[in-house]
Amino acid sequence: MSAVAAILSLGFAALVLLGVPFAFALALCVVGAIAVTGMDPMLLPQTLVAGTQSFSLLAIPFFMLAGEIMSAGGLSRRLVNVADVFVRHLPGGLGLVAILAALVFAAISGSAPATTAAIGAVMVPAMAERGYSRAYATALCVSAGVLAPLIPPSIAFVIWGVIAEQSIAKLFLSGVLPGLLMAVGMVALVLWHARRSGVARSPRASLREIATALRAGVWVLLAPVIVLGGIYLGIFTPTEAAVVACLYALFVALCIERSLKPAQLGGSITRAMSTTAMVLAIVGFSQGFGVLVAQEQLAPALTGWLAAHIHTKWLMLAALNIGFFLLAAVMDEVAIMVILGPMLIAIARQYGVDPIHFGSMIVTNVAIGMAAPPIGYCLFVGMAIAKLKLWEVARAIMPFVLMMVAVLFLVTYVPAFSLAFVR
Amino acid sequence: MRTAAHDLVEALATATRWSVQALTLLMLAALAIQVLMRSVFNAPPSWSEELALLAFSWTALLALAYGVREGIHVRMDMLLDALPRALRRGAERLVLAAVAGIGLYLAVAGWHYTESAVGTTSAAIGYPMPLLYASCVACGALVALFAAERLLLGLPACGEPEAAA
Amino acid sequence: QQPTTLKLGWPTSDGATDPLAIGARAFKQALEKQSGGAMQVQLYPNRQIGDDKQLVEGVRFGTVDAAVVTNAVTAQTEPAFGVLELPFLFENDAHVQRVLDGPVGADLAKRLAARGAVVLGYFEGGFRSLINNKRPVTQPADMGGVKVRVMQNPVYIDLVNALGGAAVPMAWGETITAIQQGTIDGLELPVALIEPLKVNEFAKYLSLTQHTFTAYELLIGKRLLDRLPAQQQAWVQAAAKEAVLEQRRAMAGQTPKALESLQKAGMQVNAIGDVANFRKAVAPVYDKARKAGQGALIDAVLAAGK
Ligand code: NA
Ligand code: NA
Repeated sequence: MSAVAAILSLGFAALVLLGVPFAFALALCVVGAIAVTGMDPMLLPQTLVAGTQSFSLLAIPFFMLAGEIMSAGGLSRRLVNVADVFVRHLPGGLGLVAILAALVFAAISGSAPATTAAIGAVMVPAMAERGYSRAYATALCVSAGVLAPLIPPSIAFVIWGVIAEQSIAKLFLSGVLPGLLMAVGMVALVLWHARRSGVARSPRASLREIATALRAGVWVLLAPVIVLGGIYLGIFTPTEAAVVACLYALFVALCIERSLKPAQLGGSITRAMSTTAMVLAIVGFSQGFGVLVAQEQLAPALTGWLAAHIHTKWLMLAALNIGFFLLAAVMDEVAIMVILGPMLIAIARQYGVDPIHFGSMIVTNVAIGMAAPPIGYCLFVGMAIAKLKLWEVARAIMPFVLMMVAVLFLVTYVPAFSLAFVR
Repeated sequence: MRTAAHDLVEALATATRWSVQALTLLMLAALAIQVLMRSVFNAPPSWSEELALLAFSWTALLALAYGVREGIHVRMDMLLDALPRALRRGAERLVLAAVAGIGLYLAVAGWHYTESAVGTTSAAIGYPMPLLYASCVACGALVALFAAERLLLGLPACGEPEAAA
Repeated sequence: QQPTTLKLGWPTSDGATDPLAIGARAFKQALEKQSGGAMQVQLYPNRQIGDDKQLVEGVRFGTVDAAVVTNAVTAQTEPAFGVLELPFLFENDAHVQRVLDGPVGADLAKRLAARGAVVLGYFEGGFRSLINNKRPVTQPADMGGVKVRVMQNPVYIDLVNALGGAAVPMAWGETITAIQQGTIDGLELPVALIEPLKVNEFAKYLSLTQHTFTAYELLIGKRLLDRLPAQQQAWVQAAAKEAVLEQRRAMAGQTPKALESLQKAGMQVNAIGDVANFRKAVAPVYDKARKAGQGALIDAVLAAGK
């Protein structure tokens, strides 16, 4: 192994274990490689800026911001109210409310933790009040967050589209069925839990209650129609859709509902940009890292090794899924996508996997990683909302994670799930 | 002396936060005009995408630096959690020193990068490229400053925003 | 003795018909043959070590050894290269080659060398034409209201707008989806690239406007070249000459072949009417370039056409 290859692999692993943030561990490796090879130090700033000069990535802050404004302006509460009047009287009623509301919120927001935060903040207290265990309510809202990266729009698909150079609009479509499948799985688990736990059912909503909730929620319900309709009618690109979502949320919260004070807007922007910066720091610093990986020709070496040991496409997909899932247990999902993405794509191409199907599989895996213990953004958000410890949520979420892994299996081996809507 | 330095860092952090907010609104406005002009008036502007991207690089890099102060950058701390208290403090200091070092490196290399780009221009608007590349200098300097601040205050490298300490 | 290795990057694929890839492979083959193996070239296609802009900068700063890049991007570092992008500038292929291989090409190379990158040779991508879903374009009036994706480049924006169309500067990544969904009506490309990029699957009309010519520069870092022993420098220069000939020979047959194949695939191809009408419409683009101090270069290019 060359000195640079050692820095990029062993050096990176050591820095991450030491507790250096992923973004800065990448930067330190680039600086180390520059020092060893005598390359120009300008490689670091040059690749960092280049990493942020991507129009598609501009979708990230605006999909984040749209979600922030929806929550801050009380729009997610209205959304929950709409879901509530339709399904609360069914067995497991409030659980179904959380899933339905998350499904609609997912069609506006591209971010899993933002969806868990928006739905969880309303639903965890409400469910606890009705006799559900806090851990179960939290586990459900954490799992519901997983719908956001799968149901379009989706930040994870935007990032993958940039790495894989695939159409983001097509990738969005490839997540619809896997997302719905996951929602169905959650409904099944909620019904199963309702039969076992015997939480009292809520009374059916009156027609007047339904009308009131719909009237209050109509502006929120219109948001996904505008965002997704705009993309697929060709009025705007996915990146522009994020901007439109933001403007629409602002318009509703400031002018129609008058529920957001202009002063709150600054906080919303700062939160949205902080999350964006966390992602962009990894994406940006990984550019220089990627150039070095390419120059060392590490990817062909690894794909060659894999090809020599694994001979069928299906075995390869299983190996990639397991590897990715285990890595996501200890590492940031975005970092894995960005650092290993080019290598994974090379492998997929070699085995003739459809690039859109492959993207759908990766993003389903990433989405599950956000909720699966011990490390996951949705998990952390849920723990913070419910003020629970990791192991309490981790135990309650296990059935959900198992269900999601089953969905991942279907997405991996039945390409029709991801390709049904993609022509 | 110590409080004067503290006030200065606080002011810089506030300025950074405000810049991030202002630039985000600028991006929002530029892209809103782009969508409107193309879809309604059939006259897409040629400057909007490039302006939004220029603002995006600045926003992202400033927020990256601000995030060092707020402790938002994700990392793995399972090993750190397992360490005895004294050892963990040492490791945190080492990590912060490394982050500050990267900040300095970025600021200096970014300065050379910016200088070397004098005379080159962007593709659509034709703004001078040093305007974009200077974002690296600002980012690096602020990363170094905010990491040094956490180091001096004895904060860990991630989590616990300064206000909560 | 260890052979000297050059890392050569380019932004497009390593496909068999990709004009940049053909040039890169030709250079590798020529240099390894010329030097009897004492010099090796490693190929990095697909933006592996950076996109156009990063490659130009990388060559200048020494983070990349050598690269093949699009002329329009080189023009961002040295604006004089922008003259080659002016619309309806060249009469034919022979005119293009007289300019690139003559005093104008040498003048441009000298200017870029002052910025740290040496032009080893000019590869060719062919003339660019207009593709759209609205109607065949035979005269400027047909461009009315057609939304055309262009590169982020003021000349192309002004060119489309001057002809009466609506220029949409858009990143390539969004372009195919945008044209599929009707966000835009068309785009412009060298004819040889239409099929490899699968544009014919989403667009109806190909109008042979031949509005600009696409050239690619084979670049090497000046500091790197100056550090090489004289013998190696000579090998590099000779190999580049050979590669340019080989690349142009390979490209010469491609445009007619591509046209035939596109027509077979159902694309409607049409020639344009009098090019003088188009020249008249884009006069403001030339005025702007002359005002920017490029008058002498423009005249030199035009003189080579007579
Ligand atoms: Na979503
Ligand atoms: Na995880």
